[in-house]
Amino acid sequence: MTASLKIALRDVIDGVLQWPLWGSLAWRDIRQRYTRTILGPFWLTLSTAIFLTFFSLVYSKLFNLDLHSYLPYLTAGFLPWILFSAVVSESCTVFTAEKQTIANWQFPYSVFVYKVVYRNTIVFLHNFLILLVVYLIYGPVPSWNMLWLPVSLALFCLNAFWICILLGTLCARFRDVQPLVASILQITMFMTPIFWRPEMLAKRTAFIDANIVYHAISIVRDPLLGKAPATVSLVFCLASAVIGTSVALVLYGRFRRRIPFWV
Amino acid sequence: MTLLTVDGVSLEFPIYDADKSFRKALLRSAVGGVIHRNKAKHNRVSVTALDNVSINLKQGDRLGLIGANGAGKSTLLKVMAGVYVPDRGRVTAEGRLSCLFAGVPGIDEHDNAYRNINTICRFFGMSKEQIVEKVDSIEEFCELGDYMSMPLRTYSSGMMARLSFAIATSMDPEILLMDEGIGAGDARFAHKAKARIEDFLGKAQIVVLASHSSDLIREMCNQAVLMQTGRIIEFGPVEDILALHARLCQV
Repeated sequence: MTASLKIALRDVIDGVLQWPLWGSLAWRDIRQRYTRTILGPFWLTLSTAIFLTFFSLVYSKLFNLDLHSYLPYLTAGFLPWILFSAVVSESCTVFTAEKQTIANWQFPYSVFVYKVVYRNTIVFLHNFLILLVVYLIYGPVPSWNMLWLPVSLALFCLNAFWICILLGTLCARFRDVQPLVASILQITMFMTPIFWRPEMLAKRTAFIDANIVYHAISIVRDPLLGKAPATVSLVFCLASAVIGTSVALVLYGRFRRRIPFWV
Repeated sequence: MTLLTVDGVSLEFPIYDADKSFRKALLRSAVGGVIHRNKAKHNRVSVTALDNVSINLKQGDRLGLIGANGAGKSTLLKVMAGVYVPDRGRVTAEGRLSCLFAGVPGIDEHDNAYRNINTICRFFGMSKEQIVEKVDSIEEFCELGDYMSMPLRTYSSGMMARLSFAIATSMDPEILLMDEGIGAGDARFAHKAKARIEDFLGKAQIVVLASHSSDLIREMCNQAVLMQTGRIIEFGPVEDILALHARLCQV
């Protein structure tokens, strides 16, 4: 097990040192997806904005919610959800999509994991524009608690990182995992309080309290709404980061040498 | 001191999509490595791609790998390059190592040549300063002019070949691993390319070349090994090995 961990750590550390590479690969992806469009990567922001506008209008009518508090809540929770779900669904192809490179060159594969996490974080930061507009409409809520954001986001990304390594390795070997993950993601979106508040339930249930996605989204959402993140959520995310990273690294280190055959 | 040592290396390729009838019929194939079925591991099919291979190379060695399709030449190159980690045995390389295999990593047809050079050189682990240095020499050599700032998808195949040739030969490896030769576009350019490749090869202290072309092996190598089903069956001077290979092929 220590041997596996060593291999994995080596790869992950060599990978992070290659930040100019994954940094430029991430930007290249973004540039290209919107090549020859006028808005460029801001299409991502615009489509999210359109979705949020119409969704909040319908939902607030449907459930008789006050848009004044619902729209900021929805926006602040939906943006980290996009980040999370994009990383998770892309993590399934993080290695298989780079077949040509992995099968022919020797280098740390974790470069691709950093690329996926980083690219989606860039998109997330682009989406802050929406949040700014929401703040402007519904009154600014400046608060010292917002300073939690970098801490929360780092914790969030750390969790995204291990999930990406773990799923990337599993999906390279077992091609059934990807459709399974897509299906689970879809359910998670509805089971997690993103479009609704936990208070709307008559009784709090385990699928909120034991839901890591809920805690991960909460620690980002709360500072965005000017609240300090709940201690229980922070602890939850920290624990999952530590345990998850260890498990993912041991597994990755154990099977890393197989990845060129699998992809 | 530049060294490349391959010591008792064995490698099995797991095969995940062999179909059922194939699994049942497992035959010893005339080409390729020996195909196995491992009863202990859910009848998993695997191919022995390398079987106890040892090679010692030192400064000045230019080794040609000769053998039929699937004899393990490319696999051996990839093990030397560290792409594949062997099941048994070990590979030690002392010196900066470069490979010329299928194309170059990270190329993207929507980006222009400058951006691609940048990404590819990053893959090779170069720093920003080193890349800036390379760009000028690559640009000058491939004579693409204004096309350098056009997306690669607008290139003709000849232009593409020139660019990837220029990038590939801009490295300065101490150990160079090559799978077949490298093409370089039209005839006039081929002449220019020859000079560059000679210069490039001259700088490398150890060269390993896998090829089906006897001429290429004669031209570039000073020793050779003959491989068959993942094993080295003979090692020696280029002409002897080529003759042995020709004799074995006729049988």
